[in-house]
Amino acid sequence: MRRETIINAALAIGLLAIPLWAHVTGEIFTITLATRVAILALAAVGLNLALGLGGLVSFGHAAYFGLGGYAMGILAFHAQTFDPIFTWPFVFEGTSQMLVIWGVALVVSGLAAALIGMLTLHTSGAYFIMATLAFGQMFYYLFVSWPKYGGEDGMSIYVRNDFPGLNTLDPIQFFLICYVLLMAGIFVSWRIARSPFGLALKASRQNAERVETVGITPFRIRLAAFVISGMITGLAGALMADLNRFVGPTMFSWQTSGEIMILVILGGVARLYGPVAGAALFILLEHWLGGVSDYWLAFVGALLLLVVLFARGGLIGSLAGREVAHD
Amino acid sequence: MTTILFIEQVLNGLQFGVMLFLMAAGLTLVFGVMGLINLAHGSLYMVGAFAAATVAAATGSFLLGLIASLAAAAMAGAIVEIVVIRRLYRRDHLDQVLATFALILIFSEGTRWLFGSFPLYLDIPAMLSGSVTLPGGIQYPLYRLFIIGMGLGVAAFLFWLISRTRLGIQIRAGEADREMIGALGVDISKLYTVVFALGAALAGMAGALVGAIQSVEVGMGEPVLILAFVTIIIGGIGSIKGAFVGALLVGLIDTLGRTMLPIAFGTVMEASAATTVGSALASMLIYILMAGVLIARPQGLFGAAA
Amino acid sequence: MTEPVLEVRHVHKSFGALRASHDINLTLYPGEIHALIGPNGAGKSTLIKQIAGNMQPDAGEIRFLGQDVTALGTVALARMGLGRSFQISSVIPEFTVLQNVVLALQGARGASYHFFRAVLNDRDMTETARATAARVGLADRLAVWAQDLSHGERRKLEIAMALALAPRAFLLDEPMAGMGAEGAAEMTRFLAELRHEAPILLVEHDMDAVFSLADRISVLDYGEIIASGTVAEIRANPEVRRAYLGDDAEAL
Repeated sequence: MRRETIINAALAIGLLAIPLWAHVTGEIFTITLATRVAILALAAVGLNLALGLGGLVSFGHAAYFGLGGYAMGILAFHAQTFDPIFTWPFVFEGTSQMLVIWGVALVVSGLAAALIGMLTLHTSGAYFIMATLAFGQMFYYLFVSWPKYGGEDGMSIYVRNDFPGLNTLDPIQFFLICYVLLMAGIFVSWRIARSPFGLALKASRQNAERVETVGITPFRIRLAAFVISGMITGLAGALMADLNRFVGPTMFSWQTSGEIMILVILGGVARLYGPVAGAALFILLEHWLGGVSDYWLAFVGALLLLVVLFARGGLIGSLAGREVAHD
Repeated sequence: MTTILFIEQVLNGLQFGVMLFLMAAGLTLVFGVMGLINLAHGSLYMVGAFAAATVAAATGSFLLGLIASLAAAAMAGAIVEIVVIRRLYRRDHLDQVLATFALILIFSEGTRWLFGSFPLYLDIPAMLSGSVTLPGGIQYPLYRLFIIGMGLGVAAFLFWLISRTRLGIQIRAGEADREMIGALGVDISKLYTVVFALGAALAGMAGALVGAIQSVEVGMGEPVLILAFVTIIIGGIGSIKGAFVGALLVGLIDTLGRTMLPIAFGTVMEASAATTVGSALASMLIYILMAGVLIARPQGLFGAAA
Repeated sequence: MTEPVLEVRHVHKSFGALRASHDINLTLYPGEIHALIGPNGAGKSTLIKQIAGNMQPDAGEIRFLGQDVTALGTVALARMGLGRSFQISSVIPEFTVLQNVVLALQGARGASYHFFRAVLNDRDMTETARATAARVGLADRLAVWAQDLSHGERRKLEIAMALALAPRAFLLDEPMAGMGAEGAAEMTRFLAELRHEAPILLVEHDMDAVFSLADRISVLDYGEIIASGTVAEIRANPEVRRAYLGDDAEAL
């Protein structure tokens, strides 16, 4: 069995076992940490699709994370106040059902990704990075100046949303929801990578001109990938809002975009479980280093710098070695 | 809206634009000559502001503070270039973005460690404080006029540098064909360090100048950085002229938009809704402009055609 | 009289004052190899780009399979069946030979928007890809990454990818470039057979190959076709000699 597969299995099992163990021993905080890992990993799974497979350096993925979060926030807010969001062309009331919220989060972030993708994917590398960064920030300023939904201070949501048949306030049950969604995201990622679409996407990253001469349009492939990528990250945003019972404009900020990107890079770009490894590493650093020093982010920066300069494969790349040619 | 208010806002927009130009010029130079995207540019802006505030507070002289900002930012830029940036020229944009993002974290947390989380203050020098009466009876802060003047002066200096000096020729040649100038015997390493330090000095100066009217704090550089990116996209990467025009456009549209849109909406909506909608739209205005440029002319107004 | 598969009619292209293509007329009939030769800077690349859909002519018409394709881009032409190889090998470096050919097949069939099936489990695709790779002699190199192939093997991979499109015409840009004598001979034999599958518009500098392969030759110089005809006619043509060799021409 390939080394990478073993590492992936270890990560999947570890991420499940640790919170289950914490549930047994009553350590709620560990479950919360694990939930954060799962949610951040899902956000990174989304980015990894565009970035790792497609080579699309989106530095504005926080836009979708935030939109997913605010989809939850706005729906829950209107559910709490019993005041419909709009009444024309049909009555759209708030809801606190997770399944509905997730659906809305997926649709909204997908639409945003489609729009931003259409505007930016025609441009070359440098412009693309700057433009995606700028559009992410645009959402930040937009929501800062929207007092109805909290403006700069954001909104607190007083309830955790409902999932049929489960007690979502129970930390382990909420964790399991997030874990299942993470595994689903990874599964989707895996299937896409092996599919004809994935082949075309990976080819477009390496040689777009060649791809055209075999009759495939790189722009459309990339756009589709970008939309799927945004949707997955958007779903993560909705989950994060649920976990924290809070949404704020910082979910859209360039810092958040950078954070999601760090997760992908630390774990290993284009690696299937890279996001999980990266998220786990990041949360561990936040927890341990953060306890030691207020300036722990500087160390994360230094680590990132070292990884970029000397260990480009990230955690999984360093452990599993270079990918070998295979059919 | 009165004419006086309008002219005031135009001047504010010019002042904002001219500061954006200082940031954008540095960024676009570095990208044009070295092909490198530098996210840490905002950190250099911050370094300049902090240097100015510290020196000015210690010596009581704004002028010394300004000089300190140039020196500190240029030095920081040179050190960063030699230690980190050099390794990134041959890397792809992703690596450059990640490495310079890492630098932001290091700079920000490092500054917070050195100076704490509370903002520093930089005082406008007495000589430049107060208002001036402009033709038409408009009272406008002298310091802001000073900023506009400094910005235009720097723009003129840059244009002279690029078109009339040997360094400028090297820069222009480097933008056109990076490999060739090495073959022609130009010391590339030194050129790159100089260009990077020059860009850093511009950013530092902008930080110092703006630091006197806003506060000097950690994280002040990044919003400006992002606006500088918008400017470059609109103006075209690698073009100083584009950075200038783009910066003025962004500065004017953003400033005027913020005052005029709520008023415009006020004519069709009631006041509080107008303010909300107006300011929300105003905050998005330059991004909408950027989107328009991306659609109509993706290489930017003055960028090389694809 | 058979219809030409590919036709270039009165194509013009200028870059400012430079006339890169001036009143170019060219035809490609079924079953033939039509070679396009000319000294460096004659405008061959520009012409190829216009035919391949990378560039729009300023004036004139390009017809493929009886349709006006002047405004079409590379992707559309590829879907119509124009197989192409590049002057500088352009393959997907981190894909294996098999993956490269499968990609081409996939593009030809328009089957790229499937998200859940595993492409390499598709028997039909992989078998066809293997067969195509075998035709160019890469049967035992299927699992090798394209970037690890030798130069000659990469040229072959390019041809295989063009073949995978089941093309109606080939546009081959210097397929012999950088190949040693043996490789060039092998490629020449291969192309001689290939013409029966689909006609080839061949841009080449290797004169041995050109004279042994071409049914017709067109000579491009300073953006104009200065001569067009059979091998014998071109060899005897004084204009051609002057274009290549200057005024004191030796016998070609």
